[in-house]
Amino acid sequence: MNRNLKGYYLPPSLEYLEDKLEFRELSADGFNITVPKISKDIVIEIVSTIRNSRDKYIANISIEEIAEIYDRVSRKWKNNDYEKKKVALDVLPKLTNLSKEIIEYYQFRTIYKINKETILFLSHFVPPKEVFKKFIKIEKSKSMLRAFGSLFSQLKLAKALKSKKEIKLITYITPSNVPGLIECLGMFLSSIVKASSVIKSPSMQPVFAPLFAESILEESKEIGETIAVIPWKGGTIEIEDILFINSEAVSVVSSTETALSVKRRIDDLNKKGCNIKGCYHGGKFGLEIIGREYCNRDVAGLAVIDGFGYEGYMCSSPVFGFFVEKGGKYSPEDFAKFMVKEAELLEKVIPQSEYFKKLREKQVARLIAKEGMDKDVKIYTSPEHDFAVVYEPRPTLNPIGQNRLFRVMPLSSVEDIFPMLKPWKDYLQSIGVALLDSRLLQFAEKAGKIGFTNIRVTGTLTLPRLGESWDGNLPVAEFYIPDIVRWVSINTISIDEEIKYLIDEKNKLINKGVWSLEG
Amino acid sequence: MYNSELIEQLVRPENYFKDPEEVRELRHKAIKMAHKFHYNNNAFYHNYCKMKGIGEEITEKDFPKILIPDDTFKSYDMEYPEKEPLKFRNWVDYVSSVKVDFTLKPAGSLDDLLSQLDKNGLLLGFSSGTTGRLTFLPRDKYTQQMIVKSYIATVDATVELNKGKDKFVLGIPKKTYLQIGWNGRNVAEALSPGNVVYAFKELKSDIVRMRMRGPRGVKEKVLNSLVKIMLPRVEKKAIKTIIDSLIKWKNERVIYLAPPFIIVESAKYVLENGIDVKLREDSILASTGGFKGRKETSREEMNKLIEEAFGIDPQRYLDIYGMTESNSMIMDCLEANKKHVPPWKEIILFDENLEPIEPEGRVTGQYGFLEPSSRSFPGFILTGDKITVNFDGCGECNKITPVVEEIRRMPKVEGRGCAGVLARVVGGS
Repeated sequence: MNRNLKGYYLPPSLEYLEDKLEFRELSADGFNITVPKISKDIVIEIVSTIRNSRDKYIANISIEEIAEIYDRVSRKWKNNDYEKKKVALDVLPKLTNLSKEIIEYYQFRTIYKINKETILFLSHFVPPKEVFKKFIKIEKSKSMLRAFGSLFSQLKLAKALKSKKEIKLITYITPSNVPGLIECLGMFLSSIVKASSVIKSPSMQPVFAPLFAESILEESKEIGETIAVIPWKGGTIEIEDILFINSEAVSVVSSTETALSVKRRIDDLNKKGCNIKGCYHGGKFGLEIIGREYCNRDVAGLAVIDGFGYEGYMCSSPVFGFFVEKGGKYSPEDFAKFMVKEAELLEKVIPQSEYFKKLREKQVARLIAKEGMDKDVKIYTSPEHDFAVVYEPRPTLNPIGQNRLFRVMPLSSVEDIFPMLKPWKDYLQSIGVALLDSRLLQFAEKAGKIGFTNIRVTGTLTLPRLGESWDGNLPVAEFYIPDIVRWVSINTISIDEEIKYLIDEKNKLINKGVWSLEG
Repeated sequence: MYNSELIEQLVRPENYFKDPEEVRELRHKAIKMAHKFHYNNNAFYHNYCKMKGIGEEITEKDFPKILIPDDTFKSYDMEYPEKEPLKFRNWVDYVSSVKVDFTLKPAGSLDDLLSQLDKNGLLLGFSSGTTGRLTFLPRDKYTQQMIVKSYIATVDATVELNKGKDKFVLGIPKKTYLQIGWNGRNVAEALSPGNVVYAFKELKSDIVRMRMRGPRGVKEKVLNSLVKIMLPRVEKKAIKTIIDSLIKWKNERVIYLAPPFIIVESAKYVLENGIDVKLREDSILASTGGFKGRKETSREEMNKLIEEAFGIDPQRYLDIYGMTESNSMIMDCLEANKKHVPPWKEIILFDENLEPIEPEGRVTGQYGFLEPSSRSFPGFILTGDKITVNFDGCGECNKITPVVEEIRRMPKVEGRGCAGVLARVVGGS
């Protein structure tokens, strides 16, 4: 018999709306998912109630208590026997074609990072002034931060940080490429600023956000009253206008097209007297830079972990490829071969579904056809394996590295990448790096200037850490401060130490699989 | 060895009406033969099959696996093939199943380059696509003949023609490497030599490329401005040529074939200017190639226009679904205006998870086909179209083949959230 799941979440005080709603059913092998049809009148009731619930409940809860609650929720999801996690791991692969190992390793392990320590850090963090001059170590988040902005921007920032406006409601529009991650970030980031949240779940998988919201309700009836998860067709003005007008902040994580369309609408509303802070996160492409000192088999394994993440469909995924510096003990072509070896081990613990395999085969067909022009191109692929590695002696930028298609290209110097990136300036966000500490800051400074906002250690490119910059904004702060400063983060304070740690973690992953790793 | 006798048996009009089981058996035998030939003679296809774990012997179960994504044939790595003839020739050789070892000289234009290939017996017909990157399909003399033979077999199974006597008015260029134009010209000339009129003299490949992808550099920008000014005049002249020919031959049986927007424009011209071009009642109108970004006219509106302007029973207006990669056309039947799949073409539809759909009843999916009649490249193609096929046939004519009921483009790989832009960049390339 099929199991019934809700494709929405309404707080207990709004459950009476279920009698007024019309529903449609979405079927996924073994599951019936009930998805409501949301009307303008329903949205008015939801918005009015959860804005009031914000004043009634979360406004009076201390940040320490909120941190405790989310810490408990996070621990629940860490437990492989937690019923909701079991359901999510059963249904999400059916809806998204991602394997459950991908969901556990990349998504759920990011959710586990929502702990007390992180929440307290995020809610109290004030960036030091020196960030405008150089990368500054932020010990508590084990990261480095740099800001780019004019003197005028710095003054405006200081003013904005002093006079934080009260936020009662945040609307989140979430994507389908990272199934559930943004929805739960939306809930907890809203709670940190003591706001209610309305989460628009993606049509591809409307189930994770309701499950996570129910987990929050299990731990706190009060916070559970400040969340609503509902689906609607993106761009439905009569629904979105009510939500946007009643929200102090709107965050959209979607395609560039959707992000720009929401931005246009919010700009219009603000011109008419609203005061909505828009937080826009559109489509981006990532890449990986491997310095000659780190051109070795273990780092190739870390690069593979980055490439496996969300099958290459995360904004930070290294779809441009893996650019390896010449001059090390091993050549870039050796690095490609190391990736093959490591991927053979890693695919056993993080398998790929047939769907993405077929998509890759289509991409590889084109590369095989291109081989006719360039005999030096080497393609490493076989029907038994869940990946393909292509070594291309002439580096080019083309964002085609999804579905575990790994393009490896040589560089004479890691800095040779910068001139190539200029045409793609608008699509830059994350760059994975394996460079000695002594080379990192100089490289990061240039990467920040050209447009990257997230510099991550190889092996963590598709594993964001809470507290990093996001598309040049700081999470939480972006609800308050205008987009006048571009924030760039490095997700470590010592890359050499971090790489040693990540290699150990990678070996544990290969030996133990994803299910018995520590958070 | 490529067994052309087997292909000859398969590509025949009578197969439209034969026991489907019998034809299927023949078709499958031909597909297996063609696969083996391409596997052993086409370096690209050989490597592609190896990637998929497929050897030279296959069974029906392997058919969905051997389809090649259609963008394979635009995978050459240069913007101007005419400037790098050797490199381009190597690419053509690699994706072809016949040897391409002749010397190509640096060419002043794309047309010059294609003409050199043509003179060496290899037609590189192209389609413009939607991105401006031209898709090139290498066709040797045999494969060229098979296109003509296959088209004529479909026509023969659909209408009775007075070969050598019927008059053809073609709303396409006389000289072009645009595959759709080449097909129209060669089929018409084969059916009724000397009785063919063309609306356009020539369509240069360089112009098509520039128009589709946008002009690059000063020279192209200037040329593009001139083309923009000239285009309406050229189209007007073409319409006039068509109307003049239709008037001249209005008492004879005419086959008027053109892209649908040309048919619409010519019909409007006739009606607006009160010209009498009522064609003989057994004449035929046929369209192919779609509206190419122009405002679409529905079938109902087309029927009305055609009847009013040319006095033709709308049932005698036949639409054709073809593509550059294919050696065949899928043509409306006269009885029900339903598009019949030729019996020499194996259709496979794929669901959203790229799994093959059972060929039963009425189903919709991504369109793939296997055509063994192509010798110089594997005619096993996964297209970017999403079609609805009724495998039960049309039920109103005698043809016993599936019918294509609806055709649309596959959505680009959208729907993966903030990677959406990626879909646009990759999906279109």
